[in-house]
Amino acid sequence: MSIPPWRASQANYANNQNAYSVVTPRTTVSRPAYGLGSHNVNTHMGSNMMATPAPATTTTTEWPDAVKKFVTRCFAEVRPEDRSTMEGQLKDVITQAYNHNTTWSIDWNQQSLPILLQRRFERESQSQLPTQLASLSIPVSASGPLSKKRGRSFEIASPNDTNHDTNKNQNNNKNKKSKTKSKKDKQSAFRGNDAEIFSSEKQEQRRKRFETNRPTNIYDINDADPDSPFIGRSTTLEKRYLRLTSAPDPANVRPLHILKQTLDLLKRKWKEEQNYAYICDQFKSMRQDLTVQHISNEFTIAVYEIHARIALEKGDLGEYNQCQTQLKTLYANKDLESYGHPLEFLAYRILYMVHTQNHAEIAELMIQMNYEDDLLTRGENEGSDSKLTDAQRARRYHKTNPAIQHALQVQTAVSTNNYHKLFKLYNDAPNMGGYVMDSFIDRERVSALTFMSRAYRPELPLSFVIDTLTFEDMQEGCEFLEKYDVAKFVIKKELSSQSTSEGESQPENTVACSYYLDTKNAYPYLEVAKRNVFKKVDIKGQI
Amino acid sequence: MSQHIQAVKTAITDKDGAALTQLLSITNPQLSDFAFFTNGATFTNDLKSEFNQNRTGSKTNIANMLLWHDALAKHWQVANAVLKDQDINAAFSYQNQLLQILNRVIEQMLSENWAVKVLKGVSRELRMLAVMADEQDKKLNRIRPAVTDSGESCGEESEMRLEQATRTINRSFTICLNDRTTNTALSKKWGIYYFVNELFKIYFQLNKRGLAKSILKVISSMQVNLPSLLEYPKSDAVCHLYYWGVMLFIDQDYTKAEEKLDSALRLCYKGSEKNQELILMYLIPLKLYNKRLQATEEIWSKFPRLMVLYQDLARALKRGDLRQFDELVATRGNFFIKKFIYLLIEKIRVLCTERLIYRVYRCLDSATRIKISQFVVGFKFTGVEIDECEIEGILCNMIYGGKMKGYISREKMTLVLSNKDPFPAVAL
Repeated sequence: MSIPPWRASQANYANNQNAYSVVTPRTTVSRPAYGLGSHNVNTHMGSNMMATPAPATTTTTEWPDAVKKFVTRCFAEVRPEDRSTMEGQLKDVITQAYNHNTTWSIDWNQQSLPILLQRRFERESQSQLPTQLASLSIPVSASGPLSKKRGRSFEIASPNDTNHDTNKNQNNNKNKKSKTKSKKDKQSAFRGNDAEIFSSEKQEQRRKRFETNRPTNIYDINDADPDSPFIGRSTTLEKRYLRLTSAPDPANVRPLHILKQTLDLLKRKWKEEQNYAYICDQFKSMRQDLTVQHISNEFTIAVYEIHARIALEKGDLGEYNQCQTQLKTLYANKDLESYGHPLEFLAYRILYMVHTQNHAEIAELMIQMNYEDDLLTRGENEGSDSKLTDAQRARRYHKTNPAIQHALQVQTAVSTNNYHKLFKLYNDAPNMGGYVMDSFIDRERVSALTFMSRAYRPELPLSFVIDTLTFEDMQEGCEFLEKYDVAKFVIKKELSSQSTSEGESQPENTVACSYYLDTKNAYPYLEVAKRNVFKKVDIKGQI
Repeated sequence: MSQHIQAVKTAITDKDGAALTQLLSITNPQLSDFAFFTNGATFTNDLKSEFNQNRTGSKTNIANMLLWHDALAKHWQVANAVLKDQDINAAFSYQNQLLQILNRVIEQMLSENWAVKVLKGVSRELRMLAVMADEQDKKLNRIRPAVTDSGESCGEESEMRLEQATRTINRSFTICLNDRTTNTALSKKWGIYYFVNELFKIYFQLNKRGLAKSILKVISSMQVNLPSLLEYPKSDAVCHLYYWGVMLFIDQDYTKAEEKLDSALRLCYKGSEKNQELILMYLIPLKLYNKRLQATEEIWSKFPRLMVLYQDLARALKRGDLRQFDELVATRGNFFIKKFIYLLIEKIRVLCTERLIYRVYRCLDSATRIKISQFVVGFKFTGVEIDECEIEGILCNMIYGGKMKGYISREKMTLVLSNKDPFPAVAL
């Protein structure tokens, strides 16, 4: 049970067949081909890492046609002023390939040279970015391969907006882009010693690194026609999840209409079989297909919401968090405003913040919610263009949303140690809030019991403890006491004659009533337990 | 016009930072003369001829002068954008470039720090221009309601200008931070907190306190090499302590927050009521919560807005008047939320319930045995509905927190209080 079954099976799966693309050997030995650039399917699999041997042509100086074509292509593309640089790089690449016996195994059609890629990137970025940004971001273009490093983040991002035929995504992508950039710039501001960057040795290292990585660029620039969206051709409903380490292959990616069928199938299977390992795996592959095709619409929201709910139900906070993060961006997309259940998931987020004790973020969320509510009411008073129906209003108005209000009350109860209220709220949490609360309810139970064992003397009826801390039954309560090492302080008390006679008719009830917790002796143990539970919160998969 | 340029030159040769700051400021009264004295086509030449008259001195001196010349040229562009074209966006970009040039100039000046003043003035105006430009953008885009794209920041969708400004100002900050001059008097390190504060102001506005925190980390890792905060200009120290305190406040580290804000208030210039008010807005509830200290009449009369905000609340707390407390919070809730104070107010409410418990005890002639149900009645009397379980919860909290000496007997549903000093912390 310790290894999640879907992971174990994933490994097997990778052994048997290559889901995405043919394994090509790495092109240099300077660095293991772990990077995005390698075509290895699974980085965990050592056997796959081995380069396939090249045809035994090492002794002859005969060059494959592909190399010749490659050279011609390079000369055709190069600008006159870059020609000498290009020739140098070309020579390096081919010599290296020759030295490492990879001239036959490299897919020369997909290769390019740093200088060419760099020019290409400059052309693209200049046409895309506002001039102001461009002037800020590309001052290093004269310094050779260095600028490529910066470039890459854009290149990866660029299919995002070019692939998508609608302008739905554009805002998001622009943001993303500017954020990456500002991060880079900040880094460089702290980097300090520029001279070091330009030292020839470092440059050489960097150049090598890019050679290893080069295939990343290939997909982005050569293959992908920036105007046509990436659409899969696969028609299989089910697919195992496998982390992509190279460009996706359309043959293995399911298009939207197939994915819709997949979702129906999965919903049915979940109801019938409740096999979480399988479902989680399938959902992950579905999310992956959505991502690589840049589908973000109503259906995407549905997929993430369903997966998030299933993950919650199974207490898989890590997976839940990944969905939650995506949902946050999806909900923020103005075109998708009327889809999904943003407030339901916002409520989960608040509860999750209670779990991670992230007070600052809760405070910020409260500000944000207030602000949005204000906008809504103000918009209505002004009678502006956004006349909302009652239903639309209810969808977005936080102050009247039961889930949000519940979550906020939970936060208050926790922060003011009002455990009585907290457990009441735990019992009638709307939607799946209870599952999120499961993540911290034990912690609060320990805390509450510590408080109680400090205050009540001489003892506490066990039934009262069970009731207050809202355990399902006696057994769950006892397990809890066992877990925190205080079960040994449960004492049995002689009952008065009156209740013994009652006890014979209802043995179970009286048994419960006759047990007590010796608070005085349990207290120090609980104090230790409390300190331990509050020590740290594991933030699973939170971004 | 040559007067202006002449003045700049003199200020540079005299190393008169204050004068130069004034000359390069967009609030300089002579700005319009400067902007209009020549048109763009002839400007560069004019400036060059003016600036290069009787140039003397060593080679480095001349090179330095050339950089200053660039800076002045940039400043002319800023002035032009502000006054002639009234183009706030252009003004911002030029000002940004101006700061970049000055960063370069000042980085090269080893063992002298007079010019840091100029850097301060320019970065300050850069921030203000950025804010103005962003506001203008927002107005122009106002057709759409401002629901955020990131969902995170408070409605202000990516403020590009302000974010750009942070990068340049950050550079000024690192230049000061990394000054290796051994002579403390001439070190640029004296500029650090000014730029840190500028950055904090921006980060708070952008809702990016995470970045502010990482700057705090950088500074504290350098602490050994820095003079004590108290040796810095008071304004820098106060501002820094204020932001630091507020950050701790938001993270609910209330003890440390009080400490920082306390020092901020102590250092704060007594004439600046606005700043004192800002500090006290956080400090008053902190004192209430941490030490149960009420603000003095003097404070209330000096800061009428804070009086409206807090005085009744503090009095309700003292009386243990839970109902009034809740009513007051209800009317001020949105403000408290906006200022990150709300979560603390929730905790202060607990203190109010505790006061109420104490008052019930007093009403019962300090009885040492009190039925739980009697507390319920007491709460009801002040208009608060509560059940026995919740009362028990409050009592547990008090006993656990050392605010009450005694125990609860579940069997008899009674609170049994110690004879001696049963409420060590609640009785004021």
